[in-house]
Amino acid sequence: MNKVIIVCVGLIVCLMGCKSYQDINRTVFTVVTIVDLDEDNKPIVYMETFRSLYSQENASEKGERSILTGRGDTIAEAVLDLNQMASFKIMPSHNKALIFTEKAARYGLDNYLDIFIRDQDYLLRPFIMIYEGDPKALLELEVTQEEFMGLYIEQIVQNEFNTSITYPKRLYEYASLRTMGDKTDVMILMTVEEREYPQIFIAQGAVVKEDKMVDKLTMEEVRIFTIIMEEHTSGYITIPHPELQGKYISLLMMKNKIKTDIQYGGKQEDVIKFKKKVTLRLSFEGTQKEIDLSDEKVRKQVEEGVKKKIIKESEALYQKFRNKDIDIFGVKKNFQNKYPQEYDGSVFKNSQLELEVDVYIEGSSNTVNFNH
Amino acid sequence: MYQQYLKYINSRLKDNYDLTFRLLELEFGKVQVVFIKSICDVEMISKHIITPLLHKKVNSRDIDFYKSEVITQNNVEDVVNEEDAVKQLLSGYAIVVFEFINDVICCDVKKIPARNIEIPPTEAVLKGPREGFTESIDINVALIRKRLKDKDLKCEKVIIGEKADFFVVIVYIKGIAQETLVTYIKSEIKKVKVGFIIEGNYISEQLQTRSSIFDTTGFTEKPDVLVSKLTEGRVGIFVQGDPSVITAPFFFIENFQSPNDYSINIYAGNYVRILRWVAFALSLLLPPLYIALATHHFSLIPRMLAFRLAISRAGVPFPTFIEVILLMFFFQLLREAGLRLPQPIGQSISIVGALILGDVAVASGLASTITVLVVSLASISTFLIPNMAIAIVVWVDVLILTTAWLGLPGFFIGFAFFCSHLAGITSCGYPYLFPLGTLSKYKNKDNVMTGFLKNVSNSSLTKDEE
Repeated sequence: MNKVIIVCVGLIVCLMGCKSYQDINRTVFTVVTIVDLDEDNKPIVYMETFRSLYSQENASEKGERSILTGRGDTIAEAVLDLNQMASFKIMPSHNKALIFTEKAARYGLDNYLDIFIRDQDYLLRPFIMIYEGDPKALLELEVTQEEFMGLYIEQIVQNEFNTSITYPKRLYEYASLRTMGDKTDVMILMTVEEREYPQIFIAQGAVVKEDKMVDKLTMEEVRIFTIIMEEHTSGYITIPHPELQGKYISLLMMKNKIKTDIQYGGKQEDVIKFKKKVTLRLSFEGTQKEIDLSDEKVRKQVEEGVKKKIIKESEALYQKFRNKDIDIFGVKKNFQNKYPQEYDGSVFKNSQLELEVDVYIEGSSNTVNFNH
Repeated sequence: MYQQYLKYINSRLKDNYDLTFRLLELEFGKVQVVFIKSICDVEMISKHIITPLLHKKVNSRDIDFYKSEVITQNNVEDVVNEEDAVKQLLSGYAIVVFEFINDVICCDVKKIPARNIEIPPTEAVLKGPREGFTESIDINVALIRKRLKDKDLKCEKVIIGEKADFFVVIVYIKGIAQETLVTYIKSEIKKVKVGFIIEGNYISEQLQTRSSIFDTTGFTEKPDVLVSKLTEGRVGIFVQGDPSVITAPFFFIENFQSPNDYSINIYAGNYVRILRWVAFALSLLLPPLYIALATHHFSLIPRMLAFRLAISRAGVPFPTFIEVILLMFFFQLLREAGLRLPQPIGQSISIVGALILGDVAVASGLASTITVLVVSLASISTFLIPNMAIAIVVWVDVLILTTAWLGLPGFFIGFAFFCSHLAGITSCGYPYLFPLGTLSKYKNKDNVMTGFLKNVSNSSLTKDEE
């Protein structure tokens, strides 16, 4: 018995290195991974990394940020190339964002996605997005709010007042969406805008069809797209003041519910009706000039103003993409689910948006007397 | 007979300064009163044996005359042979050998020094009874009888040992303790084959049926605790010279019970119980889980903590699992040092040692702050369940090795071994994990949490009526 125990303990100690044992201080963590293309359309992988370091000079421990770059014919080769420069094995356990440059996205995400989908560290946690601009500039950008670019990106994506695309946000979401319907999705498009000083923005959208970026949504288009397509959208809706021309009022979106349906008569000449019922709960946030919200007529005017704005902008967006036959609204997917026998490629082109918007402006109670 | 006895006693007990022979010249001949003065009450011998023999008119050759009319000591017995005489002498009896009578008698005159009844240091309570057992069986039995005036309380003497006349006393309440349990314990005690019994562990070892670091017999130094266990159907075993009374059977769940739980408010008592369970989980699972997360599963650690952990370990030259084992070893050294030294110094050593050791270990680069925190938290947690402290330390080492090898799967494998080991142990025929491991429902209502005292069953080992 004693011999068995000694042999077991010996085996465990000797074979420790055979498994995935790795001390956390002997690991390089990636915080953000960026995939770009060179002139020959071969991938370049940029990684912002973290590693701990013992400084002999100060006799103290510290964490250090570094940027590593790898090249190769495939992503695997590029990551291997990157590992040649890393002091320890690179671990994506805390990778916060997987970013493809616009160039790589327009060339085709399918060329690079497989290796990431197979790695659960990339599949489940990191946010996925497209970046418009130079990756080197992005990584060298001085961000004051966080030490690491990856962490800053994670925080702005998670900011509840951010009005960016919320689905798909992560790779596993995109990995399932890319196989459905028209295989068209809208992903977060990140840009660096020169204002007082360079700032990262993720308010635009990148339209990806069959893993290739084909179009963009502006910030305003993303806002209206998220209101009619994604629940739990936050942000403000600004409409003209109902009583004063040239002045505006803002309402905060508290909750939005969306019901989707598709109807088709069955005859070739029939129009496919893509129905959306959006219920919005808003809270009055502010006005440029006084507004009497106790007046029901004014409240009705505000509600109508919101409805009008949403319907007008939604229809314009729908029209724009129907003309391009880029189905970002999932019309084909819905049609295919409901009428699989009648499905053909022209579904989106023959469709029409029927949008019904219910708006409720929340405020304090009307009750002024407990007896009533 | 007279010479034969004296010669034998002399030869067997020579070179003992306290062996005393008192020669009396009576009308019919000589009488020798033999005793060992260090364990006998000399005054009692003078008053109840020597004075009556010398001053009473004794003119009989009948031993019964001396037993009933001369010697006034209350306990007078016949001596069977020379060897018996030696045993009785060593037990504190005085031997009376008559030149003119062929019978030898002995009188109980023992006066063995005993400690006073004190507060047991190992089972301190904030509220409730404070009396503790002593090394004397008679005092201990008296303490039980004081609390339990029950006609069914039995205090049976069971002789054991080979070389000397050693015995233990088993106590139980007839009708509450299971007949089979009492018989089993008696038969096991009789199997003990040793020359001397110095403490209760000789009996505990005999009652341990399987090799395990977990004790399958309990012990207590408090009469109130023993009484409560007796009323639950358990058996107590008193060993001469040991203030710790063995209780059997003993279950895993009893490690989490303390006399204080029943003396304070029920909710406060249950809160403390939960604390002990949490402490058990922390002490057993925290170090291996830390190793699993810090060496295999980085993604399960929040990013902020992962980075801080990596930074804190940057200057540590050892792998994480070696670091943890090393620190746990240091803490065990401190614990042992604290136990062995006199109490005031021991406590200071423990506190100062832990502070300095932890600080210096970090400063010297041998350990990281987070590892020191994990190990000290686990080590402190073991103090809440002191009966299992060593067992936990050993099993933590096992879990650390399996976890370091395979990560979380290794941790689960090690934990499954731990559970199966516990499930495989029995205490006097009952599963150690009682009431787990039994298909029957038992009256016991004092498990993980305790109930109101009026509802806690009188007999935990009795099955519920259908």
